Amino acid sequence: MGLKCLLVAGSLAMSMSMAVDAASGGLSCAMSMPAVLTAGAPAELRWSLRNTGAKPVSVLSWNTPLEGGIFAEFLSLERDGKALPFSGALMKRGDPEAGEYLRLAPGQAEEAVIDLGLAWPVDAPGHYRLRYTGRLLDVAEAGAALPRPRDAWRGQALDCPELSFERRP
Amino acid sequence: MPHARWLSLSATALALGLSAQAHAAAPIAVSLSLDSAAAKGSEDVYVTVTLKNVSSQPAKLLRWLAPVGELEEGIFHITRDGKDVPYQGAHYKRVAPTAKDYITIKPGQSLTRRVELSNAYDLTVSGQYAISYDVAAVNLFGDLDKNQAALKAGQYQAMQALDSQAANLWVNGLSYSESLIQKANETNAVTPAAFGISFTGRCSSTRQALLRDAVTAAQNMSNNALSYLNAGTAGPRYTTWFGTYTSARYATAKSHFTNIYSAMSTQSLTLDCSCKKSGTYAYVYPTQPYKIYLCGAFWNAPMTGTDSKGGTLVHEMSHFNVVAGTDDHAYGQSSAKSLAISSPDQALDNADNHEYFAENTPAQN
Ligand SMILES: [Zn+2]
Repeated sequence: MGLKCLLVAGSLAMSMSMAVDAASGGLSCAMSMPAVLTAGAPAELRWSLRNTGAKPVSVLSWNTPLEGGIFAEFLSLERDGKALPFSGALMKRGDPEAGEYLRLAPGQAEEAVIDLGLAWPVDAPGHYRLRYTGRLLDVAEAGAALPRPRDAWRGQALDCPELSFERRP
Repeated sequence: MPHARWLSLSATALALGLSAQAHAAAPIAVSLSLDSAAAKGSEDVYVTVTLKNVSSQPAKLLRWLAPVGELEEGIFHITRDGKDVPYQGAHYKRVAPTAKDYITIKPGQSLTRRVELSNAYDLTVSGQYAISYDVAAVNLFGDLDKNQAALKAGQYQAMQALDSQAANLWVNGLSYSESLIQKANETNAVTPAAFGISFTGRCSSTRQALLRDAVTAAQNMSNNALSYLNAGTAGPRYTTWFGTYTSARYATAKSHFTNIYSAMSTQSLTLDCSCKKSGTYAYVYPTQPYKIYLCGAFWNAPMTGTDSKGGTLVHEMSHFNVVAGTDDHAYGQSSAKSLAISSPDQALDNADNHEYFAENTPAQN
């Protein structure tokens, strides 16, 4: 039942009142969220990664919402200037499988919506600030042999400028 | 299995009444068959599932509710003598599906998969079992664009459902009271003090034995690490994993290993075997001590040494906020070494650096 509810919640349309974008080495990250959340409304963050370069790239989905859930502390949240504790899962990673890479053609974007409430206490009223603090663990050009082991990864920082939102009482 | 017996052949689709939109019959028919109509409670039970596209167009099905591999959700409805048998397998936190989260079956084609049930449902107790596939979700059949259009038009989205007829299985296994005694034995503490190990997520007896050895290995490693720090040594072993010496950082390392060793040898640990992710060793929720979920890569790891079973438990133990509250800033030995050079403070907040210091492989002084 929990799953069904989550799917319903996950597919509600959002009013995209804030969107920020930043380019970093051929990949650009965008985050959006409603600027104001009423009490009880899910805090859904839409997160997307776009290939702004001229060649296809493959990106390991770990450390991003594109893995299909919150499997790392890739965001940092504050309420009224105070850092919020993370209560999601932290994973010890080994070497990835091929299916855990996402291939992005030039201009192509992948996006995912995550419910922040699954891993941070975002129900209390206040002014929230949110930053993406993850790092892409492996970015490969077309033709690279994938998957590749941890020691052969080419990591890359990803700059997603911060967002803020207001939770109403 | 050569004598597969077809126990049911049809499927039905329901459109639950959440919407004014009319829903056609499901594009997919699901049928189940069991290798045998009877099983001993001690053996693994598999069901063979056939998904047939009965429509004239390509049919899509949401992958994580499709019976195509390891179970990721409780997609089967199972009863024993009329009472529900709960799903005990993995649960994942999900985001809304996108186009890549669907499997596609061409018109007229079928997809057949064999799925293990006994690792996610308790099929050890004697009785008459009825097993059916039964799922429902918005976007089950992947009409993502249509659903977005409905949302924009202010309409609710319909739940979409898919199920099969029941396949019947007779299990000649444990009596219900015997199964309770067996479960109690499985979850009893190894030693009667506060320290103990219990198991959830259907750890096989082989895995329980491996986990007991892994806890012993983790106790030995963390005790060895603590002795090193208590002696005040700051040799290459320390600087490789925690960087340039300062007395403040050294004190942090010492308090982390005091807590790791203490928790590993005095707390009651819960070890869970339900995670199947093969590129992942293990995970924890840092606010929920002392439950550790072991994943696919863990079972292939050596008992001691680099990225071992014992070291993985040290890594996970360091994450709990009440222990050392570490994070995962960098993964793997080479990244952990670089982190120690570039940012010793982050190395002291990184779980893998603690693990590699404890594993000390290859050994350094
Ligand atoms: Zn970790």
